[in-house]
Amino acid sequence: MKQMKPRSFFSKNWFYIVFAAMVVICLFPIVFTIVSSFKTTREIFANPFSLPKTWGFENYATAWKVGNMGRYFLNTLFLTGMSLVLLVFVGSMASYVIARFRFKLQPLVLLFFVSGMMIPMQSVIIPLAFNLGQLHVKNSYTVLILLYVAFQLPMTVFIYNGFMVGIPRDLEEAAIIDGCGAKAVYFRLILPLSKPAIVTSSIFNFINIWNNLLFPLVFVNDKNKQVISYGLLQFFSQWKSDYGGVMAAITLSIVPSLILYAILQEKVEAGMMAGALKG
Amino acid sequence: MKVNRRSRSTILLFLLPALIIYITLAVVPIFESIGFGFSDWNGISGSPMTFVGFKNFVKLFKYPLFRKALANGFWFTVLNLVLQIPLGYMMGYLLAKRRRGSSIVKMICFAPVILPMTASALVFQMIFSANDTGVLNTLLMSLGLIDGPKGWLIQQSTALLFVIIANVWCGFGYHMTISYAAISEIPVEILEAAELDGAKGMRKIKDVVLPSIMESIKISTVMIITGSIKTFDIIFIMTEGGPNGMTQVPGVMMYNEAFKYNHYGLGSAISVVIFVLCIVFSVLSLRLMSGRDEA
Repeated sequence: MKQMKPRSFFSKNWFYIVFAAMVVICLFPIVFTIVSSFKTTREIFANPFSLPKTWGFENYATAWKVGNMGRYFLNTLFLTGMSLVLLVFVGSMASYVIARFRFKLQPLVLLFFVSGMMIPMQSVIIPLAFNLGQLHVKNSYTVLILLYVAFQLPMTVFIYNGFMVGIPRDLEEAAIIDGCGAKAVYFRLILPLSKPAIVTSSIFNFINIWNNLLFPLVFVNDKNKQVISYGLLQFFSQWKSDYGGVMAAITLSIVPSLILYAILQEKVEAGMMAGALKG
Repeated sequence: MKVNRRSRSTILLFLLPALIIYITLAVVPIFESIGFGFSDWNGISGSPMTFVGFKNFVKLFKYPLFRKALANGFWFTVLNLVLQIPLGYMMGYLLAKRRRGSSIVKMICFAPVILPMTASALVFQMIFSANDTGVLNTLLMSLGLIDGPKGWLIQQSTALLFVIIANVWCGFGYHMTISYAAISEIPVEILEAAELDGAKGMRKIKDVVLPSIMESIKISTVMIITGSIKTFDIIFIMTEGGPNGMTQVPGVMMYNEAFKYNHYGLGSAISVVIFVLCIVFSVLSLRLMSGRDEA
């Protein structure tokens, strides 16, 4: 027992030293970016660790207007929003049938959708570029939205299916006895009850679509239609020497996710982990 | 619900939008890409595609840059496994003790996971910048650890390692959260019983904690392996495969061959290799690990 005291004292401190180190490592790049976005480029070069002398928004004005980041930001918001809405309906409709109807091909249909998680995005861009070229489709948001839907569907169906299987049968049976058809059951009962699955899958989809670089890189070359991830890269390659502006542009690209995470911490974690924890 | 004729049409109606989008934009292209791997096409729409058999694959495996990319991909995978899993699982274990401040620490360490890779990669490119004003150089010089600025991402010897460090920063929080959830689910009675039996510290971890979270470790391992095989964003942004191919990986090489040099056949062949590796490794690692579990 005598030996216990110094050991437990050490282990207690060790614990907090590790925590403090990890917090600094994880937080530094984010705080560095946000703080630098308010400094002039000269200030950043003079001392990357200092606070800004005056908190100015000049860098944001540069990034938003000169760097076209405002446009990219709104484009990405639109693309992500449309994809999310479509995914809610397309995904939940398919899952409703897979989870609640008994038919011969049911397990196969579920497997068919879920195995799409293994398709790497890289493996489809060349054939898609070929197909779209033959159809003379360029810079199409419709295609981009449908692409996002296609690649987010496997996980979306997986999440909805896992949730919908657990909805009590009695509710549905009562509705059918009341004369509701499948459509009415879906719209009035299943869809409203699936709110938690809608939130979880939409968060997962939002993060993935907002962050995606590969699809816009290959399928969008019109500057005015560009999205924030690729726009950010272009801004960086053109304005490399304007560190302040680049930092403001980066901050713009991370702010929506950070706000979402600050408000809905548990739900964002659950959404991102959906594939790993329930699988 | 029983299936009658009416519900059969309902099933189709509800499934159709998802099926159409998923099949035309994900399933068909993946099969097409296999066909492309065996063909030659110059990338000009309308020009014909000719079947060339295994030519692209033979050429690919003779190509020194592709061998280099495979080797880099291997080290990228191994180092990510070796760094992310111990770091993530150690943090998950410490967080599961639920001491004061744990929840905020967890939140901060998870935050990098949700950030756009483009943003994180650019920030790390600036942090590792070769200038004497780069953050890492400033820090190390002021501590007296290096004499002059170093090009962490430019030197052939350090480039891959520093991209991996950035990638670990982006990813370990995910595995921390997996392990936190798994360790939190271990019944308290089991941990207490182990302590009564005299299992403390490392022994408790080895005999009680590790066996109960094997399933999570498997999931993390498979996710890191498949994620590493597919890796694109971080390398494309931080080094574009340079310097001198030292950080080239199949994902970036595939993009370059197809969209920079218009070698679509060769690019497709690489994409087939990536796809096959992903499937083989998910199946293989799950098999191997469940086998070890039973033994």
